[in-house]
Amino acid sequence: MKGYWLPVLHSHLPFVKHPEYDYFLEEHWLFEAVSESYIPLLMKMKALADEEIDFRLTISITPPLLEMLSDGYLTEEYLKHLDKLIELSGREVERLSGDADFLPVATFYSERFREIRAFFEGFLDCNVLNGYRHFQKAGKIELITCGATHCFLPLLGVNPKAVEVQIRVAVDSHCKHFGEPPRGIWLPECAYSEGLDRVLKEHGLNFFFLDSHGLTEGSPAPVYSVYAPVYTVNGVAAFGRDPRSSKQVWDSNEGYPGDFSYRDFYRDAGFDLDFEYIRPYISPDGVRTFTGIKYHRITGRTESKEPYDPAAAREKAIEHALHFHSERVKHVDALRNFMDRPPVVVSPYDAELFGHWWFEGPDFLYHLFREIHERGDLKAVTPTEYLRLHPKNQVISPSPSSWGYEGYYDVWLNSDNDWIYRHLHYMADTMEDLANRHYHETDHLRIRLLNQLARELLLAQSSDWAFLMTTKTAAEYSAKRTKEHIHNFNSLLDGLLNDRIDTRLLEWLEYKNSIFDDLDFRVYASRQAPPPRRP
Amino acid sequence: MSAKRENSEEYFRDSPGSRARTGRADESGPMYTAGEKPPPVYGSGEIPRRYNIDTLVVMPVNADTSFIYWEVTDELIEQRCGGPNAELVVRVFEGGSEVCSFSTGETVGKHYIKYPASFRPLAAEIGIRKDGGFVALLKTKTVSGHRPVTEGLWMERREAAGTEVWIPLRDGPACASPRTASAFRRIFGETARSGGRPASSTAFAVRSP
Repeated sequence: MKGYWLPVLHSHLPFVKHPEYDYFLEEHWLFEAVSESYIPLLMKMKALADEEIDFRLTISITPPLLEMLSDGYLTEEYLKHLDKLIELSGREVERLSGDADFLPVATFYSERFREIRAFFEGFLDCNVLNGYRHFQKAGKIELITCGATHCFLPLLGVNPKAVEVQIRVAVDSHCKHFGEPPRGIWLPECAYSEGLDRVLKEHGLNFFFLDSHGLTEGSPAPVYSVYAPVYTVNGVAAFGRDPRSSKQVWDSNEGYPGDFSYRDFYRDAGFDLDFEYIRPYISPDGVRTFTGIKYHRITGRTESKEPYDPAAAREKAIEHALHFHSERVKHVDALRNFMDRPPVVVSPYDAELFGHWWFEGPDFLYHLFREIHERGDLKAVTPTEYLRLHPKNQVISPSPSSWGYEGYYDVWLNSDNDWIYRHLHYMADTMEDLANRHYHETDHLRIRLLNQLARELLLAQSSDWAFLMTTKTAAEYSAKRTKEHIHNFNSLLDGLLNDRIDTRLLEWLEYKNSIFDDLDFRVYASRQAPPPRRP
Repeated sequence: MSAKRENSEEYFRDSPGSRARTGRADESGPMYTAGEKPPPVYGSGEIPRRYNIDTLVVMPVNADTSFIYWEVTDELIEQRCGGPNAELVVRVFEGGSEVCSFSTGETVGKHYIKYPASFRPLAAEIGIRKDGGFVALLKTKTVSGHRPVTEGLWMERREAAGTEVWIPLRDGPACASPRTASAFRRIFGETARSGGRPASSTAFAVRSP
């Protein structure tokens, strides 16, 4: 064995739940991710396990995603969504019965959606989290947490309680859903600032990840660059992202997902087919949307796309898996001459890249693990396994950093989104004051209201809204969501301060913005010791 | 000094931003009373233009840029300046030295500061110029920044019976000498900032071809 490979899949979607609408476009972010990424990845893990091929993955599942995947309303909506896809793909097989080019693709989708439904209802028992629990118990994956609502922690640091609660609620949520505390965390947006390590340590988190420069620009510079973790002064291990393996997958020009054989993400039946025919399967208001049925391959830099060939794409995924493996072996071969131990190559990716954006991504991972298993040059590890094997590490102070464009905080703090911070800071300060003043509150209605205030604050803090305002994709929705939570917070606060609580409003928000149903507002208290954490 | 303030100040020494803050929550009348309003529909809410608080916050954006925002109440201006129409001045400091200042007519405002602080702590104050001097209305707290670690410090972590034992290894492994480390960094110098992930890769944001 020449070196370690430590793949990390960061699974996250913002909390989106709109029971006030029969159809809500942004709820489909979850449905698409489940059908295209989470279930296909779990299916590949099961295939590997069934074939007795060893593998290791570190998977962060953010608390909003945990909450959505456990939500009864959203699960029902997902099943309806899946049934419509099964219906549409069946109609497509009929429609294309005489088309030699596209019938194989239509048949492929028809079978695939049925397999997904069978896997969801069978192996997963209608809850995706059951799959993660299964492979965690089998020792194949290490599940880690993230911020409670994926907030950009360095920009909340002016209120230390806000940061602490984001970590504490995240750990509690992980315990609730997986029955044991996480050992590590994926910092939202990989964003680090001085002092965060102490908060992590206080909540039992032993490791986190940094973008490459978070380590290499640390003080002092790490002697093994990003190919061994370091300890911070507070004793938390930090693993740094390997830029080479990231670039091979992420890079929009050179990365594998852009290969011409792979499925084209943007050409979708929802946009291509006759409007009256496709109407029952897109937004009821007539706005065309993605359906997940995509008939073309990337083909090239052309508008004229050729039919997708699933078998050819699978062959390309195998080729890329072998190439990725050989490149990693060459890399660690060169690195280990300078090290007292086998180097570790840390490769973090968004989980949704695999399957949703890069349709063949789960196949790529499957064949990569097969190759690792057969060759024996690399060993896939989790952070906890690595730290047990190599407990001696350098101590450095990492640099402030993130994995966003330019590597710092610009994406989450610029002229498009800077207006949010005065509200977020005010709300956090207010919440802390309220938690102190009402720490011994016994009135049930007031307690419910205070808990909902905490939920609205947490939901407003999600980094997704600031990110999407910057990228100008779903920017309107993001601004509205931020304003909605600020508005809700202030409306509830008015009711509390004036002792005129609107129970209809409260009940509605408890149902709609239902994240963390057992949240206790006292986590924000600073005067008294917070309530004990659940075992 | 309350426990809260002690904790806050301790954190501020480590946090990347700094802030001055006094004031209270908005205590104006209720927006709803029971039964008067149907459940709100998403996106329908207005948000406060101001909170009637006195606050001044500095946050780093990157190594060369910081963001500052403030809200100053008329009450504070009148109380300290003797009238409501004073022109406010924001001064920004690193250590004890002023690095920039600007004037503003806004009591609720924001500004970006171009100064290569490299995440070192910046402090700020907002006030008025009066009688050849400066009357500060609000000051952010002073924060400390990056804490360098002694070169050559290594640690070993052992988990035994549920407890952690940390053992300092003063010199580290033999191959981690400065000469080898230097060679390593030279050969693998590409491990500089990796430029982040594609902007389109999160949150299923792209909705049209």
